[in-house]
Amino acid sequence: MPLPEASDLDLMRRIRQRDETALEALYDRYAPRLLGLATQMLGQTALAEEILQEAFFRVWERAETFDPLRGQLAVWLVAVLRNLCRDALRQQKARPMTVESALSLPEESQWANLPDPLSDVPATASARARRERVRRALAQLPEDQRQVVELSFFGGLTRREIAAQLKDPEGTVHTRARLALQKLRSLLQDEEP
Amino acid sequence: MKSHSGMNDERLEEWLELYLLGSLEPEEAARVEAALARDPDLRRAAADLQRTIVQLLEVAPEVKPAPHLKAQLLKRVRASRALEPRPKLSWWQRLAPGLALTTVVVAVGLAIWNISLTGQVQTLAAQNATAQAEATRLQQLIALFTAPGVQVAQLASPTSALVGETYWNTTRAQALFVVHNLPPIPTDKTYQLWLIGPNGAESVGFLQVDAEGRGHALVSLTSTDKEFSAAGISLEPASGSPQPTDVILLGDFNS
Repeated sequence: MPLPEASDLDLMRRIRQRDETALEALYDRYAPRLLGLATQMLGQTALAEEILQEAFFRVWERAETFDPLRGQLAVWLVAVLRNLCRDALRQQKARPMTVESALSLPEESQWANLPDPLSDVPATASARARRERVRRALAQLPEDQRQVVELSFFGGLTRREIAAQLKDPEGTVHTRARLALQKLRSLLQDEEP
Repeated sequence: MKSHSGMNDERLEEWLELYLLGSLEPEEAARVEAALARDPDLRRAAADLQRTIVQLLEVAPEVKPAPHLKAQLLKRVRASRALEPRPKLSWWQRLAPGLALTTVVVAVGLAIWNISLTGQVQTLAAQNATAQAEATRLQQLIALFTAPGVQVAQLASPTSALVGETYWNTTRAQALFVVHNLPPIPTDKTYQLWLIGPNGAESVGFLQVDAEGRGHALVSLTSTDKEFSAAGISLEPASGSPQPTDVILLGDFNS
């Protein structure tokens, strides 16, 4: 099977066997989104590029720590990237992410009207349809819940930082995160073909 | 939601979503991971929500990395590989070279031993063949002397004090010539043995003489119906003669 078509798990198996081409394939698959996330979390392109490289180097160095029974590879990759971003931000003692400005996420409920960020790259029709469904689901979330998702998943903030940003108790952040994911899950399941 | 053992249920359930969104501090995330490891219900709940998290990644903003970033990553990976320690060998892998060398040494030793043993076997086989031939000869001699019909001829020289004996067994058609103190002869000469009957002298072989002048020969005839009355030894050309020309010893049987 050509590597671009190999599953995430197969690529990780090959990476554990020190197959550089598998790491390259994994990079091609996830680097654009991870760099997008890192840029959003850090607010600095150059630093985000450094973090991206470090994240994939850690994938290479610590491939054996990925346990497919504990979660999907994409989630693990985001976690690795997010931890690196937080470390970098702690070193800089700066947090560019704010609800109002730093994040380039859409305001209010404009997720559904966003242009496809991958419109300039080849993509299958099914991939475009999936992205459209997720954007519509995000747009249907109440604003306070959507903010928690944006600040946590896309912004890389911790629960305490989110609470501080939103000026809400941590318990409220917990509740909003829980409600947001449950609603997203329900919306996305309902829209599954 | 079902209770999860070992943790504050409400807090854990709240933490699960934030854990999946990546918003817990490391020590908090570690507590959730420990709970996930021991609680299958919690794992199922997390797996269900993970699908949603992966779907969120679909709409993550995308920034195409510059090509040199991947090149730098692969360069760094190759550099790290060059520094990676060699895979730790198991005890048998570490012992393998020594065992291989030992095996070679033992094999060479066994080969040399085998060659030596083969040589010894060949020597012993030759010695055995010689011993068997000698045993056969001795058995023939014993048979010659113990079988009925043995006749003896005292051989005497007409010109010297040289003496010898010939034992002739009529039933086995075998004769033994025994002589001592035979003088050395040129290489173109030989001592030829004769049994003499009614039809004249019949050549029955040649006599080999050692450095001390001792000679003996056991000869066998193919037929037992011949009668001989005398035996003799003559000095002849190396190729032998049809009839004796220079008789040096002669004697009659049972004379």
